[in-house]
Amino acid sequence: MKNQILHIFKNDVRHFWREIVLMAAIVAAYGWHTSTHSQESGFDAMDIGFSFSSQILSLLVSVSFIFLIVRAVHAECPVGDRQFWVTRPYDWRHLLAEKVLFVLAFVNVPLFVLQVFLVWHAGFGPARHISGLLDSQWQWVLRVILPVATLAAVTASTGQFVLAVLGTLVYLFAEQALVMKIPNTGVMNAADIPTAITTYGIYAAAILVVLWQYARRCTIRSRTVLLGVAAAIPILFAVTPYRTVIAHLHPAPAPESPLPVQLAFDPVKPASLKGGYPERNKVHITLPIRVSGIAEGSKVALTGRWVRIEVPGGPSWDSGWEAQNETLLAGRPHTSEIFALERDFFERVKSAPANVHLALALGPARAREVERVVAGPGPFSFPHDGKCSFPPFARGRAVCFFPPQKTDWTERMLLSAKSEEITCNPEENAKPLPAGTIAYGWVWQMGNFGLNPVSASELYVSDSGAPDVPTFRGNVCPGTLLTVYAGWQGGQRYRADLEINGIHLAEYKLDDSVSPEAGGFGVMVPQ
Amino acid sequence: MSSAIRTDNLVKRFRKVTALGGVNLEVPEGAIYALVGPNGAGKTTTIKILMNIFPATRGRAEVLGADSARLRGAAFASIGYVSENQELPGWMDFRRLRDFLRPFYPTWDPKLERELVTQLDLPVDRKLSKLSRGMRMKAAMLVALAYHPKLIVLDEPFGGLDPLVRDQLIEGVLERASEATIFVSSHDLAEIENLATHVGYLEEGHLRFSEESAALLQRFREVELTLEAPPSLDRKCPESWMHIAASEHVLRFIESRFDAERTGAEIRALFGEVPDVTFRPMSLRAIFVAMAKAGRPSAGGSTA
Repeated sequence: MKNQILHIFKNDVRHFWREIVLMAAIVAAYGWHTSTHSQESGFDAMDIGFSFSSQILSLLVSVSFIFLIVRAVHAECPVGDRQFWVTRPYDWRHLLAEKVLFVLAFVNVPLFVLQVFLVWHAGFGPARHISGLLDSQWQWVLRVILPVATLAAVTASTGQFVLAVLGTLVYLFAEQALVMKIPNTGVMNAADIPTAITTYGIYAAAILVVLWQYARRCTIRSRTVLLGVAAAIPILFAVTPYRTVIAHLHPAPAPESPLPVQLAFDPVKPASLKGGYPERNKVHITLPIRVSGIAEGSKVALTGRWVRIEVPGGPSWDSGWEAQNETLLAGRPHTSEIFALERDFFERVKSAPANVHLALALGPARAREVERVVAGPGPFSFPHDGKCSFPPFARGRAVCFFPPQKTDWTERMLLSAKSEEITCNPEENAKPLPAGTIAYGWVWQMGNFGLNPVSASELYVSDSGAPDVPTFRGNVCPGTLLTVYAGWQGGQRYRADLEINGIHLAEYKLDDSVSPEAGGFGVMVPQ
Repeated sequence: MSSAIRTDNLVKRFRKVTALGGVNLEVPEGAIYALVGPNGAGKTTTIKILMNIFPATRGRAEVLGADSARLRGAAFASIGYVSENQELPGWMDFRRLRDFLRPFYPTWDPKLERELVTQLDLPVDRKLSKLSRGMRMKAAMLVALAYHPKLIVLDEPFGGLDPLVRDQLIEGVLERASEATIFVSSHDLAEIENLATHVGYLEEGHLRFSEESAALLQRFREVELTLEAPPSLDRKCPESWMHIAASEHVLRFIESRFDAERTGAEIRALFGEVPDVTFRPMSLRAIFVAMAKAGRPSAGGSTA
């Protein structure tokens, strides 16, 4: 039979026309709802109703896509021994190709049309951002379609599929919890090797299972392969020699090589030890660090930290590598390293002079794109094809929309403004920034995985680098001159070692007592 | 004569349960082969291996000259398979099912299809899920016959059907017998004894025997001896005698290796001249009941 693919495809369309119509209606509803309300999304905190309906519609679109994939696979189910099709002259390659065609026609195409519409509606040219739109499709294939098709191919019914999904979710939570307990895995890039192996392993296993199921219907073996991969992942993470990997990724710099940042212990004792919090059997130590030498338009990511404390003639303590997520920037001369220490150890050594060895994993990067942007007052453009304005719903805040782009998961743009160039009127009781301070802010360009390919970001700048100055967070107002840094080019990662000798840890312990006025509950407000 | 189906030491285990314990089976081309045996004997397992629905644990099977483990795709254009527990696409009516399947089979015969629809009295515009079991079996049978398959495999096709439907289906199958090999399994021999040219008896995963029906009918007889004196059962009787029972002057048994001269000689050797000897032919059903009760392989015939 020459046109077996089209013949089965037509049959599936006849079979699932109700599901297809329902999916199209849900996608259309999502498109209409998002296009008429999306600009307010996330910026109007009072519009809880919109947010809820938007979430529900997003969920329904995803579920309708998943349901269609599962129904299509189960129409000629590879699992079981009673199916009608297995003793008919189906060519398995044609059958598999037909399922791919069905998913393309009723998942990828509707998604593509929806995203093109949303991009167009947001004022961007879809043709100009076709690579971003195609990247979004690819992300859907990898993150949704392939996993769903794989689970559908090893289950015999929708009920079994739902159970398999629930089982997978439980496994993912358990696996994450397990991996987080393995020391050093949180340090950025340290887990790159096992992560890459497991990612490729999962995709290879998924493709193998789908092919195997259609070609041979070896359900038990296919399920065993999937369970084997699931079992191998935590083992791989457990046996990876992270210290060696981190040492390799962050070598000690050559003695004479110029460093993108100079770090030194700040001998000036902290004027305030506020900021601690109670933690069972732990105390928190802050070590002030002076930062210098970072060139304008550069950043240094601090991704890991290792603290070793020795008291001559006394005990010692070693933290191992711990994950850090901090960025050192030009014009911010102060930072502090805060770490948790066992209370018992602290009590034994707090008054004795201690030698602290601090190792920091650093990743410098330099912006290849630097652009000056004056905000508003009307619509203004922003790097990376951003369109910004001060819309009424944002209540005086600047909001930017970005089209889909073929980027990494997230691309962060750094913006800076000198304190004297910030045009906003200070809020009541707000302490103005000292003159000459550089305030920074981040613009997040979300990756392309999602229904709406147009990402939105609020513009703001803040300063948290100066000790004894309350963190300032300010809006960007019409007339504010911004410098935008993007297109980061990573430099040689390295490790900085600081020897801090003879300090008394008691003088650096953060106050973790709960003030009597605070009452029984505390609320942390992100700044 | 070449074989349409041949198995070589076919073994199937489901975890610790051995469903088939080394089955050697041969179905000649053109035969109507009835594989019979009680429920759980392994008939459906055998057929599912033959149809490559699942693999054998050990051994090999050939279907129309091809390894059954490689049976897929176009090879099924020559095979019509109908099973009582096969799932049909219930959302289709027969017309849609027919329209969907027709392009898969180059030899689909629309005239034959129309004849079968009339012969089987099949409602063509009702969803398969709404049809009775008998009607669904008719639909399945029809779409397995309409393309002149070389091999028709029927797994318990008549179980639970009313006599009228059963007769219609049997008639439909028999009309194809001249052009196809038919392999049919059943736990009830009465359903198929009139159509089978060959019979195999499967019990607890072992093929107890497999031979032509005519030969089987020929070698089984119910024997009744009327003796002058009450018979003594202390004598050593031939192994081919089954279910020996005596009452006063009458001795009855089933001879499983009947040959008029030899059986007569054996009787004379044990009892002398017997004034009244009756040899009654047996139905296949009676033979299988006798064998099932005896719980042993029959003597003679080609046993596995």
